[in-house]
Amino acid sequence: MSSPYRWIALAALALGCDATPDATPDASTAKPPGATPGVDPAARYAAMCASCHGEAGEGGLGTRLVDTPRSIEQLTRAIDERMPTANPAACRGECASSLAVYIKTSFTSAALACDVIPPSPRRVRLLNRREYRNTLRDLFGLAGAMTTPAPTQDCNRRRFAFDPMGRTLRSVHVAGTFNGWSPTAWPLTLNAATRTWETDQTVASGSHQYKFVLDGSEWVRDPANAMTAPDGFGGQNSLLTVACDAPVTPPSTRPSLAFDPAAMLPVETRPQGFLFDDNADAALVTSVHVNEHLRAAGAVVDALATQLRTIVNCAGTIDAPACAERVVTGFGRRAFRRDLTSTEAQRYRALITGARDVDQGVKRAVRAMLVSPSFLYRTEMGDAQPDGTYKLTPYEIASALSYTYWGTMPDDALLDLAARNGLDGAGIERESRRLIADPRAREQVGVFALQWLGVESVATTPRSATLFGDFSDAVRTRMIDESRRFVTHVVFDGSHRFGELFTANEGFVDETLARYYGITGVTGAEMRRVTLPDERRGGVLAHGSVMTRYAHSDQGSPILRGVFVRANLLCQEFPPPPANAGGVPDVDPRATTRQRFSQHSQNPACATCHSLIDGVGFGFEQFDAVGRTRTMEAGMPVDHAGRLTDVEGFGSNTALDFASPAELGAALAASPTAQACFARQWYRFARGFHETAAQRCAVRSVAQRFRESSGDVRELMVAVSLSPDFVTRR
Amino acid sequence: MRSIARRRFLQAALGAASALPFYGLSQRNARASGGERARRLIVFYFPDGVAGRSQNGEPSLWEARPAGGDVTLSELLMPLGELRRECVFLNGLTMGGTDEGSHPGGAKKLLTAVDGGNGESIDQYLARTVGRDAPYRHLYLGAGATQNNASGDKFISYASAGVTVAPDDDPLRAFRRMFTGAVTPPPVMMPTPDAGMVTPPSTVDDEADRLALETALGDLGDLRGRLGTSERVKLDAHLEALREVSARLVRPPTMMASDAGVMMATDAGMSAPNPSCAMPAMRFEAPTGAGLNAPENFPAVLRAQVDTTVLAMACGLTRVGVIQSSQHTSELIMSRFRDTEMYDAGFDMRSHQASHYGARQDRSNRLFTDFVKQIRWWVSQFAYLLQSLRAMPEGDGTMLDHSVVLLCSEVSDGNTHTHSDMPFVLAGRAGGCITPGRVLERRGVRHGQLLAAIARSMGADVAGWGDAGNGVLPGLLS
Repeated sequence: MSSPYRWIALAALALGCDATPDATPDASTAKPPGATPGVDPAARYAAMCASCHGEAGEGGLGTRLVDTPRSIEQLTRAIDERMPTANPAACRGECASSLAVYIKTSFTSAALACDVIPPSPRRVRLLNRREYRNTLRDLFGLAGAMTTPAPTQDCNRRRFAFDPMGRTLRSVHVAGTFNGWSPTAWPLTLNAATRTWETDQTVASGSHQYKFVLDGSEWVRDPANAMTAPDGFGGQNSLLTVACDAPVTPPSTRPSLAFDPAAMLPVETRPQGFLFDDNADAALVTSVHVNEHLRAAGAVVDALATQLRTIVNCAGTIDAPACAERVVTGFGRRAFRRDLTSTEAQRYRALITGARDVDQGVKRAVRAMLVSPSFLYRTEMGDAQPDGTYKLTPYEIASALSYTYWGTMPDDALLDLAARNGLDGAGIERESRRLIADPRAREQVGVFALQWLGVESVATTPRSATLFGDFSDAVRTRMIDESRRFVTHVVFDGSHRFGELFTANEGFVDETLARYYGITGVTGAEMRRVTLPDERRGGVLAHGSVMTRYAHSDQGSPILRGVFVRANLLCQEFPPPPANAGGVPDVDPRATTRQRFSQHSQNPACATCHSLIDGVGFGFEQFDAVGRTRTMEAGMPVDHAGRLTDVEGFGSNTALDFASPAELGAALAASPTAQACFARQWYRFARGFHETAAQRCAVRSVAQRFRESSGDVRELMVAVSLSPDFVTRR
Repeated sequence: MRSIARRRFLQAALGAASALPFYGLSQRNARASGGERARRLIVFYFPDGVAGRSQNGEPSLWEARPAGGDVTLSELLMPLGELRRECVFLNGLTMGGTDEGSHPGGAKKLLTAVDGGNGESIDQYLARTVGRDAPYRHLYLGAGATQNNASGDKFISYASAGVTVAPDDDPLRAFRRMFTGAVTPPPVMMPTPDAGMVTPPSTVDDEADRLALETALGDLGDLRGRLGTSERVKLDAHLEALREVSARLVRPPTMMASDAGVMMATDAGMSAPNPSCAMPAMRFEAPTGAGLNAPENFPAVLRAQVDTTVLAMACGLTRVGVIQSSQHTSELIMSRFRDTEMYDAGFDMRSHQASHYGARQDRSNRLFTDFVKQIRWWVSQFAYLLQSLRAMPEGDGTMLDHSVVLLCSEVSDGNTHTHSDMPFVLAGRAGGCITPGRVLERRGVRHGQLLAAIARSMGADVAGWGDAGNGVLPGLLS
């Protein structure tokens, strides 16, 4: 991506505002700013053709292009006149001819053979919010989840904190259901170090609502607490759920933070068609990031001020140079996940030795490390090899493994192994298996599951209160929990098999969700595994979360459900709808969802794609927009006959008729295409990029190993790190 | 950031009128308005187009018409009222044929004027050129713009070819970032028993932030050296971000506009003049957390983001702002907006749903009538932004006189998704560069020329923008 801006004269102080440029560039060569000179035909192909013809011309909705018998002239004419189908005007002339040449020369069997697995590009991968949070937790040895109001060492003892955001206040109190809404009973005091108002209070287990009272009169919600409920006065109360009844782990003596250090960071950008929050190419550090990295670093250092010297192994009497050495070789090595270079070591030593005292020096060094690119990125740069490629360093491999399987930094064992150069092929496999056996891998697979299914947003996506009054926040949360628990159960405790994800006749519910689903005999707030009595449920497809996610606020969506199956589960992608596509039909009390959606798909312009989409979605008609089962709609029995054509690829003439998600699930469980797609999704999540034609061979070989293991998901996870392109770069 | 804190304290001690250095409105560009340039750009985006030329060929309900020396507003633009005299109504511009019919394709071209978003957007370019000396080079705020893990192609600001940045949808977070100091929060004054205020004994290390950034710059330099040409775009962006935040430390914004009469954002809208930008009061009741995604909260979120943008600009904190309302193909349920003509407690009308009102402008079709109401509401929000800017005196006029404000969406007609006859309105006098109160018809001219003209009005010497040829929109700048 070379800069197209080199010719611009930055005459910001030029006078006048006439429309004439002060320095007109040579019109024959100059491209205006914003333009990319010489569009790469591969990029054009990926943008305009790949969704129908396949990434490497293997075909799909469109014809197969590999070894096409057509001449370049014939291809050019076809593209010029008819392609892309939705908008043939988009690629004419030079565009069409360059694409024809690209197709003819690149998509040949010889060029596409997978004799070797090529290296992937050198990258730096910015820690996303999740990885950043986890890494700080493990780097400082912090206790558990960071919630607000945070539990102190006693689970029922909660720390209420209010950040006045620069405002000067005389008093802050917390008032809520726990103290009879007294505006004076529980005062907060100002913590000079953190500049927040704080108080620790004992709160009984259960659900509570509260507000802060500023200067005795202004009632405000807790800005740091995302959980809210209407207060009956047109505003919101903050919600606090204290669940300390279950015998949990003994109170931790580890330090904890009363805030989420990642809370102020921007959301991750997910490129179109990429389901996960870790796309490395889309992760750019903006000044907002720097601002918030710096703020979080300061806040962490302040919050842990009294423990910091212990954490960096400089407790007690120690002189600055000795402490500096320990920080650089100990804490610094863990923060950067590698040994510091001599230049870096020098920089951080100087921060400590140049400070007023060891205390200040340690704070400065730790704070600086937390905003260093060496902390914020995990690099996949590698060392140059004789053949011109690069191979990841042992430390880079250690990070690649820990972030793949745990979403966090390597532990000491892994770092030590890297230091001993123990991460060769066998070492990688051994460590992969060790990491997968750790509880942190469950957390990571849970993250993958929710993003693969796309259901994280079920927590907040709006639903009609008129139609779906019983679809409470608790139900939403529990549905997401169900999907997470179910997938991690299958992968780690069940058969480990891919197929079971779609077929297991088991679910995870608590009392709230059980009642919502109509399952009897479940009490209490703890999620537990149950056998599902309703044969319509079973497997992830019928999860309340999935049915809710692929629906609108007032109705289920056969289209969204169909596209979900095609894109997320079969990796079959569609071009965007053409102009004049029309929207979703209105809710009509006289017609079923199926009747309304059928009408719109009868338009021949839409039928090419919708014949592949809607038939799948119709098979979910027994589920409404909030994941409840139904037998009747608009006074008529629902027609839930579904049809999945081309399940093994567009044009494969395979078809499946089904009448429930469970039946569809059984077919997906047995489908090689679905299994290969699952492998591809895990590859994307693990590697942090959307594979291109260059990674086709790597993905294929990973899927092959997955198949050979009879669909053992743990083996798939290992296979990605054993693929040669896990460690080779170009 | 200690110096901000000190200055704030000093300011409090001396009284708000103390004359400290500032980035504010009055000192720079103290010349008379004629021949100046826009001091700021604000882009106001709304999703899913307008009721433009319909599939059946009925004429656009959007376009304003010239009327002697005045403008006749269309039905959809009616909420602008007399603010029409502050606007240039740009009829007929096109974004080109590529991806015509696509929402994401339109969003990619909207501010880049490059097919597929394969280039930098104009706001980012201006932020790093003419806006680079402002404490915050770029401000990108959203309302429901990142909802449901929005795909990156829903965002309209491109930091580099193909790479969008994400807006901040949380007004509290955005406000806090802008107004409670760049980095370490300033100390809060503590109450004493007699209720007088004292600053607490500080444990803040004056140098820690600066040293941290200096070290980060050193480490980044090493990394760039080791990576060669790989990942240069990313590391260059990182470098610029570090420089921007470092500049705030070296030369902290004191956020004070002495004679500008900065207005305060309050629950009642922009109200009494505030003599200082030092401690504007955040509305703690602004929605946050899960409440950010509740459709009934959307108007409050958007208003708070508009207020924060205006205040930040009034206080000289930034020159380039983008406000993104929702996202293309919006699921926003606008029928839940209380006290609007769209409100219908018993019916969920989603924004994108209504935009597909059918082939013709059918007044008996609820989709169409709701879509009309929705567009009018977006226009009324744009009007609120213009009013807020006009309520702030600046120099010999108002903030609006010294600004350029673009109203835009990613497609033209919501049903046909065409990329021609784009619904662009430009407001503000750009410091005298633009004479508003008129219609400028430029049928079939590429919108990159408009973006280039905007850049020129900001003082950037560009000859064109985007991949569709050079040129600056004729007849816009004086």
